[in-house]
Amino acid sequence: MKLPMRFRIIHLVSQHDKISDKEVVEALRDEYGDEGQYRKSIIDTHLMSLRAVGIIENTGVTLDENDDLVQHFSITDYGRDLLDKYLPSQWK
Amino acid sequence: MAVNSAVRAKQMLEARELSHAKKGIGWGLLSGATWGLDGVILGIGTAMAPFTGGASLYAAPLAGAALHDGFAGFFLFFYNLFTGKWREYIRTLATKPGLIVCLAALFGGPIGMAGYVLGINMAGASYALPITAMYPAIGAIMAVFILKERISWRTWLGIVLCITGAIIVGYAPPEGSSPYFHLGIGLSLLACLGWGMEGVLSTYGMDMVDPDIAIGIREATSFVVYFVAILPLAAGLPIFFAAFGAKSLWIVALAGFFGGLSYLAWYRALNMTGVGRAMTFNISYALWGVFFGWLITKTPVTPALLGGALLIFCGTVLATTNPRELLNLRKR
Repeated sequence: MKLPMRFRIIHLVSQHDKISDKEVVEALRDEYGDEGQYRKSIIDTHLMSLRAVGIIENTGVTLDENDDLVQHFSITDYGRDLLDKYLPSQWK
Repeated sequence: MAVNSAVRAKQMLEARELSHAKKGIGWGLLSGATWGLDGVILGIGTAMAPFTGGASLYAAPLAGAALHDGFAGFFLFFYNLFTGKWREYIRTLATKPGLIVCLAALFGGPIGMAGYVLGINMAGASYALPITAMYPAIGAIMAVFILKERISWRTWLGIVLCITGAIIVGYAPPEGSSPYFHLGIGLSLLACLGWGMEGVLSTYGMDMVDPDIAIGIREATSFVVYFVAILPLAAGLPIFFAAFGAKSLWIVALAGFFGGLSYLAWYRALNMTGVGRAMTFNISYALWGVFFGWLITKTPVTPALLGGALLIFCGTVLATTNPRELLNLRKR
């Protein structure tokens, strides 16, 4: 079974040293692209909340060619602990 | 040029994070206002047949609470259907954090609510309400230890003011002693712990679960437990079924709509502003209850109500100021 999208975002960030919000949106397209919840604004809100509670951290910001903000994230020790505890075994 | 754009990117990031924190405060205030409105409407509905009868003193309030949570869960499911999140229910329930949310539902719904209703019946509102109104303090203390949440002295002061105000607003003179007085006090404490525990557990679960889905699961779980366990025990099922076909059902459904909205806002606020602050905003319902009571049911505003409402207002302002504190919610 698919992971809930917010959970999958944590998992996705943990698989990269560093991943940008744009790359997260792209990476989720295959799995969640046909669902109403697959929207940049919803994914951004998940990322902001995950950062505020310390599961992922912001490792840098840049501006893209359109002058839009691009944030880069990586997993924190707390986030890794949560994944160790709660990630379903078939995803490990 | 490159330096300039780096500075600008940092500024944009800060603005975006600040706007996220401010939105959380907005959700918290909305949760308090809609909960106050919900309480007034539910009060009107449950003062009508069939909620005025019942085999026991607490059968009717519990049947009302079950219907309220059932309607709230129903509306939330439609909301999640509309936003394209309905598949997340099953996915979330298949994970442990999803089950933590169910556990939170047990603490907040049936345990918290049943303790509250029974506490009022056995110990009297003058003792039960002040005890249960302390749940934000219990929740905030648990959040500091369990979630390692940062709570500033100003927020603590806000919590204390709001609780004091809620106690003044809810105060009713003692009505004489009941043989179950001490049991009633114990059950009020249980309600207080239940609601505090709900906030902490659901926030922990929501670190991984979408708040919109968490609250949908919470209301549905709460309804199911009322229906299969609490109502049969409290002889509330006859009232529950009698409500279908009664005019009061529509009023309870309307209350359930505002209850669902309030809970949605509360869970988002828990997730975006932390347990301590979200609970402080939530308890401002006592202030909103005075306002909507005056507006809808023409409840007179006494000096004590005004004083209590003023304290809640000051407490809420103290907890609201400086959204910058919300940029990092936890100490890690």
